[in-house]
Amino acid sequence: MTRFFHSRPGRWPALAVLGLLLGTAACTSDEELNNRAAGKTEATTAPAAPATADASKPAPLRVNVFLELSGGMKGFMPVNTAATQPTEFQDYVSQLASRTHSSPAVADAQFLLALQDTPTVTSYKHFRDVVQGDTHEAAKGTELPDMLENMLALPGAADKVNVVVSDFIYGPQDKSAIALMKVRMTDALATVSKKQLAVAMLASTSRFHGTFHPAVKTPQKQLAVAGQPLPYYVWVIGPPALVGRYLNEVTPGGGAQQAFFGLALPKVDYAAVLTQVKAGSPLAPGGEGSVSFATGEPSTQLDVSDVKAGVEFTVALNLAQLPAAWRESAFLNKNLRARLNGGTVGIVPNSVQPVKDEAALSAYTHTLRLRLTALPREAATLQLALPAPETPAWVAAWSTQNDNQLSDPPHTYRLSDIVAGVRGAFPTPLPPVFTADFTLTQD
Amino acid sequence: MQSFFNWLYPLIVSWFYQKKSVSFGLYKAEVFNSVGFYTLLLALALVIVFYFIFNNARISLNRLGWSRPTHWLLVWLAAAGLGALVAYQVSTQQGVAPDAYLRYFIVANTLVAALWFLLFSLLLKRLPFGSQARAVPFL
Repeated sequence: MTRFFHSRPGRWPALAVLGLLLGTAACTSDEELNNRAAGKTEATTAPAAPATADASKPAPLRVNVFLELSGGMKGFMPVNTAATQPTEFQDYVSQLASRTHSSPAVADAQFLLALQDTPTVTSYKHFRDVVQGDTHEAAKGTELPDMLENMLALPGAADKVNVVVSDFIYGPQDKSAIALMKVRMTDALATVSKKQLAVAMLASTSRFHGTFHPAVKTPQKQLAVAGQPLPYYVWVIGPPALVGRYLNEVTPGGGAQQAFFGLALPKVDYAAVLTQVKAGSPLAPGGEGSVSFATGEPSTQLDVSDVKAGVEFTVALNLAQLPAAWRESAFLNKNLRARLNGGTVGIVPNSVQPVKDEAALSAYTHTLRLRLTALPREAATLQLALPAPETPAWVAAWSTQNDNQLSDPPHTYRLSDIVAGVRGAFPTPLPPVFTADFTLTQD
Repeated sequence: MQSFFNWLYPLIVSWFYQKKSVSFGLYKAEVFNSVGFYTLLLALALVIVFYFIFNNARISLNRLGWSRPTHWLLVWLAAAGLGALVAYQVSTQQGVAPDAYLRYFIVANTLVAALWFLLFSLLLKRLPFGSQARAVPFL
């Protein structure tokens, strides 16, 4: 052995070099393996992340369910015999109450009857009986803004989900207040504006058996209705995330129309789909240029090259928190916007679609395709946003100036003004429902 | 090391081909790194085989007399060829698009494999493990 070490001094540096090489190779390969392992676990746990987020979601919902119990509502809740069918109202509200009562998402449900000025707390059982026709307590209705104000004035109401079931007929006693309907509504929702709550309106019609009290009192003070449909509404008021969750997890499906205000999500999960799918997949990047994660690891920092030739890539979004109507591909295709300051980006028409069986994207609900054709020289932010839709068109269609005669389809007195008042409680323009940002760098 | 490979390969490919692949993200995430490592180990292995197994004074294989520059050149070409093969295999296995970039990446890795083999040869041949081929490829 010693022969080798003493024969030529020139060997020592060589030996050192070998040691160094093997050492660095060993270190880096270790590090590499760790990196890989980390990358692998990240990749495998990524789909699970939203699940754990679900599990650790902030405290379950606390819900107040209000039912307006006025003379005008009695017709929705007739006493049924073995021979009569319950009204749609009875079906829906019973189911709503039942689900609110028993849903695992709801920790604490309180049922209240809006009788006079202050809502009266009642038991679930009694609430159920009232809906099935036990309406003898019915009082003279409170004016709509007062009713809402009183509900939102209850202790802790602003942190809860408030569900209001009513016909939302607002006929001001003081006729001069008619001009002020909008403002009165906005004022009643001052808590909503201040605490940045969301309002969701679900509108349906139901057969009505009894006396209908129109807001316009001439020529008739009341109309006898025998089974014709009339509109009723379920409003859900509360912190946006909770309202979204209540709508998705608790309310039964099947409301005819919906409108949402202030339903903004602080955060949705999103990702560029670059390395998650194979090259042949329709979700893989396309076009003539290229796009890649700046660091090689999935992130929102993207390197882009040959933009002029056109770069296409897929973005995956988790929109599970949105109400069902907003998760429709058609709605998203119409409303989603992409913006890139100093560059050109567009959403490929009709590219928003639900995630089908793509294991790598199981954490997401939708994918869409972006097409970049110009990029500023310096780093730029690509923003994907869902602008909050303004008042939907059905509101005007369901609204009438005179509800003193029954109409088909049924209408609600000045619904447009009521909804405009609700809209007034929110800033203009409405904040986007969600945004998703990427940083793009010219590579 | 990944960032080194992610720097090295695009640089070499850009000598031949200016565009980037549609699958460039995949190259950066996996391909450059895997191919880089395999090629490095391949070159090291071939150097060890040539100098310390084929040409080891204490192993009878050296009677084959494979210690000429021509033999070294053959192994060098083998290293380059295997480099191309590794690049192709790993890339297609990772599922990159079969485009022009892939071809130039294979060319790039051929060069890189040859480069590693040359560097390892020069660095390692004088190690005291009884190599009979210290004069190869040159002094």
